[in-house]
Amino acid sequence: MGCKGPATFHNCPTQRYNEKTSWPVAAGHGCAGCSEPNFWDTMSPMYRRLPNVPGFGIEATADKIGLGLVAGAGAAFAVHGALNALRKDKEPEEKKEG
Amino acid sequence: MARIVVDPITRIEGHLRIEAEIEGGYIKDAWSSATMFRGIEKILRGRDPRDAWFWTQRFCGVCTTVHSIASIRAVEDALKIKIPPNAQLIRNIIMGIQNVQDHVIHFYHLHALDWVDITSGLKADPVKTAALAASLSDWPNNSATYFKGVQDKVKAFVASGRLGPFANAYWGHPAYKLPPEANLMATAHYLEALEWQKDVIKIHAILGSKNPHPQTFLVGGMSIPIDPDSQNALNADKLFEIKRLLKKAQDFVEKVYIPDLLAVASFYKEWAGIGGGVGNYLSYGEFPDANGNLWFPAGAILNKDLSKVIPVDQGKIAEYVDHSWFENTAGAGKGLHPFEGETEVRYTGPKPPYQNLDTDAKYSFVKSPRYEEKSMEVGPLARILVAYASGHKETKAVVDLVLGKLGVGAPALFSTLGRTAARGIDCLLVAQQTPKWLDELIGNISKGDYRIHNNESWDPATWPSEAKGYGFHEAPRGALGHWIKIKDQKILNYQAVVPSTWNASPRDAKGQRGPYEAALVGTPVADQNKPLEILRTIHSFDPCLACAVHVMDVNGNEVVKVKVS
Repeated sequence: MGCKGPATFHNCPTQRYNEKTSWPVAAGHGCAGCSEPNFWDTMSPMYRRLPNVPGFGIEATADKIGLGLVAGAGAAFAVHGALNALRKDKEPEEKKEG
Repeated sequence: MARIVVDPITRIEGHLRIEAEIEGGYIKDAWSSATMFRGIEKILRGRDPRDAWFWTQRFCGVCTTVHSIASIRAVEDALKIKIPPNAQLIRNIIMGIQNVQDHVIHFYHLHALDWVDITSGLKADPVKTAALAASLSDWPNNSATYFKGVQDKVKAFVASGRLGPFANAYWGHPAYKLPPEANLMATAHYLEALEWQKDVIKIHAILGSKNPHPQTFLVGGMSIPIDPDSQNALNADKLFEIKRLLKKAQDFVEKVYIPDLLAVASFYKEWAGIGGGVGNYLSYGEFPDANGNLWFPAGAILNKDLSKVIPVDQGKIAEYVDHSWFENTAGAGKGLHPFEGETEVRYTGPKPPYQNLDTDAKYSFVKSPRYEEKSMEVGPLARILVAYASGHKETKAVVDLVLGKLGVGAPALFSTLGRTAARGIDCLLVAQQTPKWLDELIGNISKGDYRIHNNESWDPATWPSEAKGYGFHEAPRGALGHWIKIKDQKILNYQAVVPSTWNASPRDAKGQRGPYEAALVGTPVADQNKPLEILRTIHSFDPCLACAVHVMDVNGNEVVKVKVS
């Protein structure tokens, strides 16, 4: 399990950077999935939650969707699961081998 | 006349090639070429402007914060966002320690070996070396035992036959002037600086999760939360750890770097008359306070005239591509302002491998930025000259002290040696100033001000349908600017004009040389098969194409080519 939960696989939360000093979430910033293949497309835009997921308007901001998650955590969790399924399909060949 | 080629003149971070014509032991003319293309500007189009800093940060892993700073400033300028005082102070601390670490790494690891002959240090007497070092400062490692240990370590390294970073250099070159003891002292500090830089840059990790590429920047402020009562935020423990590391940074600069710089410089004073270059200097100024006033002033100096500092107007900047492998819609001889800037690459150079570039035509992937059509040098020298000529109190005191110790006047600054000295002066000033920004931050926190982000304009729905802005930053290597145009919440156009673009630029439409090219003209070359002098002047600019004094191909053969025409 990586910084972005099941969507990333990097060990930076446990290993931490610069001789175990810190990692992005500890500096108050969201994970960018920077160790994942194609993260520049699959993990961006960075400040809009759940990019590329059908059902959310492109205009939705992190805050607005955040409120939605609080209101219906169960439903949001289901969407998150669906997102991962979606991503798996889109992953490049080399990722599947690894 | 001989035409020599040094390619790559550095081994990491980009590919810089120098072609020089030598006549009678002096460089008659020179051409600077970047042989690699980057196009992140095109990748940015259509993306969320708030994300831009994260991608521009990845232009480079050496100046690992500078493109994030310039980018968030450009977006904040476009959207008229004012950031809280604490965010400004945290940015200053991050930029400050970046500058200090970067300059020390440049001096010891990327530039020193142009002046220091490591092999000569093997013959040094450790007792005399300790006496020399002790005469310069009270650094705790100034003992004969310590220098003997370093000498033994390097001897064992040489005996192993695997020289690593010290392989294939111009050791024994007649242009090396230091006595063996000074060479051993500098070699010891080369190794010490490696450990030191790893520690002090942890400040980036504490404030921004990691280095390279700290991840704590936000349009509107910073993301690192401040809460003295939480282990998971910037608290008293972490602030005191930053204080300790800043002290460590300052101590090394004051007691090792500056004394070494002065000692080395005193053996190479003839270099105060070599490598002057274009004589025009540009600095954007840096380190704003809560009201936006800059600690280092902005300005431009023309024709080495220190009596006049011209205010900077970003509207007077344009990029030309007459000798660059690009096309622009403005047409031949015309420049484009970065807001209208284009990145349409069109390579018309020879198919590699080739002997020489056609320098009458296009010959570089670097564009030619000009200020009011003038070629400008940027970097610590420009920053220090503008501050000095503006009467900046702290700068004036240190510059006068250094000039006094070397026994030279201000005109000596317009040179290869002046550039290298100015970097040390810049480093010392910032190393002494950064702890003050930390104290201010601690003062704010103790008064209960925990604000780090202004989110009034965070939501893209609040943005105008069209906006544009620019962000300036004095990076370690000099004046950096990012320009952004935003339309319908997305990036319409983005251009970065970076310090090494100014300095490494090829000729423009008028045939005016770029700063590297101009600085090489008139440089003596003792042995054209070993053009150490070219390395000295080019490295004095700290090209962001760093460390290969020592040029090899994959089979270990020297790649510096000399073609006699």
